[in-house]
This record gives sequence, C-alpha cells and structure tokens, in this order.
Amino acid sequence: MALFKKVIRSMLEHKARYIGSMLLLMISSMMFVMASNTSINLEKAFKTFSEQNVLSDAEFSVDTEIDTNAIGEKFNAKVELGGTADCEVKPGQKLRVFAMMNEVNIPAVEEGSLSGASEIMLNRLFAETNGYGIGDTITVAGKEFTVSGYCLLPNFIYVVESKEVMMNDPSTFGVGVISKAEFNTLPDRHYVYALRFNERDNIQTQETAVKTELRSQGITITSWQSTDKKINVSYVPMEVGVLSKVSVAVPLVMLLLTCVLLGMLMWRMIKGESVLIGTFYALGYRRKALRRHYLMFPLLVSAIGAVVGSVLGILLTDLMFKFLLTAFPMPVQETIYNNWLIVFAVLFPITVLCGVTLGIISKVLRIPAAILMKGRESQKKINLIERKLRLERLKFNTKFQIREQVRSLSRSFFLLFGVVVATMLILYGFTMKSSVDYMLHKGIKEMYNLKYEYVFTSVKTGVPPTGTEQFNAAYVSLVENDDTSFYVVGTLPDTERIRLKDSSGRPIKPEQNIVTLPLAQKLNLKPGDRVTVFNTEDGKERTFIVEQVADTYAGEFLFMPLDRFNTEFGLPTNAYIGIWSDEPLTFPQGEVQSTKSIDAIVAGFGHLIDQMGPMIYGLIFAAFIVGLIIIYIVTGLVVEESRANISLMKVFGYRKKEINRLILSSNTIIVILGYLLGIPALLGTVGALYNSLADTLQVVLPVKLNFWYMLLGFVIVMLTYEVAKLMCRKKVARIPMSEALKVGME
Amino acid sequence: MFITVENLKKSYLMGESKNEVLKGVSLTLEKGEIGVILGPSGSGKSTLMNIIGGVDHADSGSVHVDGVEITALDDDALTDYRRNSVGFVFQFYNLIPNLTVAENIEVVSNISKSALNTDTVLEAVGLEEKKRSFPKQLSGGEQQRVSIARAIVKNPKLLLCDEPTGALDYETARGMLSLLQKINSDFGTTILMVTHNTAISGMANKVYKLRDGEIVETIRHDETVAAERIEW
Repeated sequence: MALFKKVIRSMLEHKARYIGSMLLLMISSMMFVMASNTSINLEKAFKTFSEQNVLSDAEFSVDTEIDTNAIGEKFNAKVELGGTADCEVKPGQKLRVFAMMNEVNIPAVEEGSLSGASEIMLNRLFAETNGYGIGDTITVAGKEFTVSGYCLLPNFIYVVESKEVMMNDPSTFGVGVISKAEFNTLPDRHYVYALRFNERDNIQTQETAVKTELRSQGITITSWQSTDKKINVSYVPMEVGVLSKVSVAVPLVMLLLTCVLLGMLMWRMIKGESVLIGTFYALGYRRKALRRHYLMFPLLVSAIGAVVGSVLGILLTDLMFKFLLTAFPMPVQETIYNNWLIVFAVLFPITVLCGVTLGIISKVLRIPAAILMKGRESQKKINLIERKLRLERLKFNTKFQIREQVRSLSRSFFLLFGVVVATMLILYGFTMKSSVDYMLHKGIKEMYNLKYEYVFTSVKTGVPPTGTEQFNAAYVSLVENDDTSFYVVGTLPDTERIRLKDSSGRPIKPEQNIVTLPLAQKLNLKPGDRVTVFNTEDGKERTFIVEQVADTYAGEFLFMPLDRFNTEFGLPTNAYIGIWSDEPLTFPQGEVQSTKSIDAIVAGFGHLIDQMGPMIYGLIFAAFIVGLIIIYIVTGLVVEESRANISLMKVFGYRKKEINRLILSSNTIIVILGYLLGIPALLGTVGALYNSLADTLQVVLPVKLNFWYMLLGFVIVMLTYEVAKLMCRKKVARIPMSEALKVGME
Repeated sequence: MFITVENLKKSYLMGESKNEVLKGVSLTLEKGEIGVILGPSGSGKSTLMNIIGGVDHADSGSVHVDGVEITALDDDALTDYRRNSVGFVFQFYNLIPNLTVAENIEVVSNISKSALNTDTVLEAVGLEEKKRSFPKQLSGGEQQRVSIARAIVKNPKLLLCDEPTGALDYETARGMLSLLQKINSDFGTTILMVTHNTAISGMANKVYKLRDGEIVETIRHDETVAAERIEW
C-alpha cells in the first residue's frame, strides 16, 4: 500500500508526462474504436441496403430492346429495364430522374411514400437544400410533380453527377424517382438495363458472359457500367476500406508513440531511483514486489487512457456513422458495436505498454543491490556519438544544443518521431487540397478550352454546327484486363479546344497518339509502347502505339488526330460523336446522350475544396494537440534532466532569456528536422493512398503540396513548439540556485 | 576595503521555528588577499559565502564588494554581478557531464565581457592536453582544476571557493591549494574560501572563525604559508 502511494505521488509530481501519455493512448483507443465500429456499421448498412433493395451488379445500354426474361433465365439473374433523364428544374439546377424499379435497384422510401401518378420522390439533401417539402410541387422538365417523399437509391448512394465532379453541390444537382409511366414521357431519357446475378460469386466472369451473349445476338452494347466501378456506389466500400485502414494505422502510430514515451519515462525513473531500489532490496523487498510496483505506472496510464478512449470512441461511433449516412444516404440502421474490438482496444495497449515496461524494469532489477545503492545515476555514460562529435569550430550555443540532443538519443528519437507524425497530420489536409487544386487549375482548367461538351446518341457526319468543334470518342478496355477502361478521343490535329503540354511545359498538339499522364502512370506507358484494347461497343481489338505523354491530370485519355481515329474505328473520315462549344446549345429530343459543363465540373471541385476546410482545420487542431503534448513532455524532460545545469547557469550569471535559449530551444534542430522528414513521409503515404483509391475514385490524383502550405505547416509546427516552450518557462524559472550549491551534499 | 560585511543577519523558517544562520556577521578583506572562513558544519559559512556571491539574500546588514553594495541590488543586478565579478569553485566541481573540458569552460566565457582565452586558462591549470575529454574521463583533482579554470576564465574580481579540497585526497588537495595561490599571485584575484580544514588557514591573509552564525575570531597573517608546505 505504501508503495502504491508512491506511485500516485510520483504521477502527481509529474502530471504533464503521465497525462500526456494518457491523452495519446486515449486518442489511439478512441480512433480505433470509432473508426473500426463506424466501418462495421457502414459496411453492414451497405450490405443490407444492397441485398434488400437488390443492388445491380451492372447497368448497361444497348442499341435495341432485349428480352429481359430470356437473359435473366439464361444467366440466373434479375434484369429490369429502367432509365435516367437529366432534367432542368431551374436554370443551373439539374435533377437526375430515375424510373421506378421493382426488381433491381429498388428505391427505399426514407420518409413519405412511393411516387404515384404525377408524383416524385427526391433525395432529402436536394429537397431540403432547395426547400422542397413533402407535398410541395416541383417542376421537372416543364411538368409539375408533387413531392411524395424522400428516397434512397441503392445504385446512387453517393449523389454526384459524374466522376469528374467528385463532390456534389445539392443546390445544383439532385435525384428523383418517378413511375415508369411518367418516365416514358420525359425528354432526353436514357434507357438502362439493371442486372443482378443470383449467383453471388465471380460477378465479373458472369458479366463477361452476358456481354458475349448480347454481342453474339448482334446487339451493340452502347454502355456497360459495372457497379463496383460506379462511383455512386463504389465510394461506400471505399470509405469502409479507408476507415478500416485508418482504424489500424492511426491508433498504431499513437500507441507506438506512447510506448516510446512511457518506456523512456520508465527507464529514466527507474535509473533515477536505482539507489532507492537498492535500498528496497536491502530492506528485504523481493524483485517481484518491485516489479509489481513499477508496473503500476504503465498499468494505470494504459488502463485509464484505453478505457476513457474506448468510451469516447463508442460515443463518437454513433455521431460518425450518422454523419457518414448524410454523405452516403442509406436506410438507417441501429448502430452496432463489436464488443471484441472494444475489449481489444482496452487490452492491447495495456499488454503492449506493460510488456515494454516489464522489459525495462527487469533489466534494471537484474543489477545487484550493492551496485544499485551506489547510484548508477552518477555513472553517466558518454555515448559513442558524443565522443566522436567534433564541434570546436561551432559557437558555444550551437555546441551546447547539439550536445543536449545527442545526450539522450531515445528522447531525441521520440521528439523526432512525434514531430514527423504531427507534421503529417497538419499537412495531410493541405496535400489533399493542393492535389485537388492542382488537378483543377493545372488539369481541367488548363486542358479544356471550352464550356460545353455534347455527346450524341449516334455518330454524325459532315460539318458540325457553327462555333463548335467536332470530336470522336470510343470507350475501350484493355484486352488483358477489361476492368481497366479509358477513352480514345479523336480531335482535329490543330485543335485549340484541348490544350496539352509535354513534361517540360511545351504545348503539344494531338497530331499523334498522346496519352495523358494519369493513364501513362496507370498502365506504365512511355513513348514507343503499345497498348492493345477492345472497343466496348463492337468488341474489336486494336493496338495503338504511344507517341507522346501529355503532362495533364485532367483525366485518362488517349488523344489522336480525328481522321486517324475514324480510319482506326472504320468510320467515315468526317464522322464525329460529339461537339465542343462555348455556348449552351439545344438539340431535338433523343439526339444527345450526355452533356458536360466544364463550369459545373469546376464548381464541383470548388465545392469539394470548400468541404475540405473543416477536415483540414480538424487535422491541424489534432496535430497541434499531439505536437504540443509531445514537445511539452520532451521539453519538460530536458528541463528536468538539466536542473543542475540550469541552477549552475543561474549561479554563473546567465539571464533568463539566455537559459531559455540554451535549454528550451535545444530541441529546435530536431523539430525542424522532424518537420522536413515529415514532408516526404507524408507525400509517400498520400501517394500510396491515392494509388490504392485510384480504381474506386476513377480519377488519378497528383500528389502535390503547395509551397505556401508547406510554409504554413512549418509556421504551425514552430508555433506549437513555441507554445510548449512557453509552458516550460515557469519550470525553468522555478529551479533555485541552491540546487547547484547543494550538489553532492545529500 | 574590497569586501566589507557589516552586521549581516540571515534566518530560515523551519516549519514553525526560525533558524538564525547568521547573527550579525561583520568582516573585511583587502583586494588581492586570500580570506578563509573556518567553521564546523552548520556554522553558517556557506550561507555567508552565498550572500557575498550574490546567490542568496540577507535579512539585514550590508555587503559591499569593490564599492558596490550587493545587498541592495535587485535580482537582475545581482545576475550581472555574478556574471562579471565573481567566480565560483565548488566542492563537488559541478561540471556539466556531457560537455568536454573546453566546453565546460566556455559555459562561463560564453557570457563574459572580457573572458580569457580557454587555452590560456587550461594551460594555467595544467590541463591543455585534456581539453577534449569529458569530466567522467578525468580524476577528481583534474575535475577540480577544470572547475577552477572555469571560474577564472572570466577574470573575476572575486573567487569564491566552497570547500575546494573537500572531495580530494591529500596530495591532490595540496596541489589544488597551490594552484589557487598561484592564481591569486598571477592574476591578483581576491579569493574567499570556505572550509572546515584548519590547516588551510595558514595560506590565508585573513582567517575568520565562524561558530553558530557569529564570527568568534578574526586572525590576520602578515606572512602566509606556501600551500605545498601545508600539512594536515
């Protein structure tokens, strides 16, 4: 009991160290419990929604009507004809209207009722943002509908207009569901078959079999969208994957930080108490009792940190899950918790921390009592680096600060590691923003010199409308991997609408076969390489030789001269599938398959960048707290271990500022080094993350970090460091001169 | 007079009771002289030296050093006083273990206005070969020499030595005292030494016997004994 009191008193004497360790562990357990449980809930919600509302495995369009029953029977699948139509509600406000499905992609009613005649269901965010309540009237494509309820679509969970937009602005885009009878009256409707296999294995192979069957019947597939590649759906499993990764990576880093920190603190404490340990031995205490005593420190820290963190994690899981359901609307499920994960979140840190500490304690306790009683502290060893350092030519202050760093390598390593982690947290959001900024400004805005792109339902020939420029395009897939698809685009060789440049920034014209950088990186292509693809429309194989790589991140394209394209694809030389224009154009019903507004894409990116704000600020705040804890603890340790030196300096006539500069600022080198190492560590991590998400995002993001953000990150890290130093100043001021005068007197 | 202490009083509170450590001490020492304060443990000799060194404050009375009343100085002025005028030599050397010999000396020369060259003082204490060594690699006597070199590098007006031979063996201690005597004669530094070793008093110009916070006897030596001839 007396020894336990010593534990409590020691912890109270050095509150900051132990509270700091607990906080790090708390963050670790909280993140683990929250991220893993949210991931489980999201996965369960998605799985339930997919199964109950019969999410399609693929959606496709063909050039003629097909017998859905025959295909369904042959491939043991459900096939249903549905469709979508992009309709204007108000100028600049578009609604994607879906035909009500009964067998596949069945909409769920979140509130209200299914839509009947002259009724429509809307997605809640669009309805609420634009003030459409249930019972209100909305005019879609010139026809009035009554809002019957709010819907959730299994094949359009993540509401976003196209993959290029990335994040939706609910004031300009939403979805609605109307009956098939109403749908058939809409202009610009596009019919789509939804297909779901009853056999749930080998979906890809089954899809290929259906495609082959359709082609064998002489049917042309005009589009084929596998659901696992459709961003409106695939973002959900991606989020589940990201959360699973986060739930492991972040807590592990935090736990590692805490292990290093607590291990270091215990090592120092036990070393400092070696005389006391020797005395305990002499008093008859057994090694077991002392081991138990010192294990109380990590046990208390880890138990309090892990339990409080896990409880916070449980509380935050529900909030996080509900928040994610606003981004990925699905029928609300009751939040579930995996008890084993919670138990693991509590026990794992306790086991790891106590294990590490046990190793350290056992090492010290093996030393005979007589030696311990002499005091190991007085036998301060000079390590190899200290001995080898030649600092004669440097100024005294620099020498002193370097010596302070090499005096305790574990302390310096801990600080370095901590600053690297804090830097990565601070710059993570900035890197994402820089990447999107870069893609927007150096990619889309730079490449597209146009405002609208219209793609027709069938190939046209002749001269395009005045003021527009024609192009042709084919959606192709790799022969060896039909999951990898991209567009081959034929443009006028001297086009001004598409601006490309080479790696040195020189403009290049599509007078030859040019692949964009994301595609080149994805397929590992360089000039001279061949790429063999098949056209998803006619199934024919073609091989193209890459002649140049364009340094643009606007998308995955292979550009070539229009006449070459037409020859390759067996089309008349003056054929085109779409036009580019600076003015909005109108076309007869059924003539246009899709319209792309570059301004809308840019606005979508702008919205995405705006949405990143809270995430960036949140990460900066978290980094500030983690950085502050780490730097404060380390600076506190430096002060604690330099008490005698500080006291001596005061006796010698050092002023407060001079002592602060020497002692508190001795970590500056490590903090700066940690920041500098944090940048490549972050860029590498983000690069790996982008690559792992590229398939799901359908966009290859460049890893970029703006110089000004780097500078801002540096300012934040240094500010954190200054705050930690400020907090430690009092400690320095409290050290009396008498400490130096009493050295060796006790 | 270089040092004038008048009716100096100092007490500490020990819980409820008051412990009077100095009960009206007065002494004087001329510039360039060696003074020794002799007394047993608890007599107040270290407290007296700390007040003269500007490390501690007196309750009443005054201390003048080289014409400056240091008992009237505020903390900042006392810092300047210690920084520019006083050198300290401690019983247990108080060297910074992770700094080399030369760097330990630079701790002081770094903040001194007119510091001597580090190599010069190392030569003066006979340690020019050890400048790159760490304290742990030196003997006790060598460490005390470094401590002396560190104290004199700023060329102080006053050198305060607290039991400078207390942790040394007989021969090393005598060598140390010779060194202090040499510094006194070479640099003209006034030295005030605290010790309980009565044998040391022979090398002092003035000896103050302190007992229970009071000076019970002051002895003036017109002729001082060379340190190497001192025996105990």
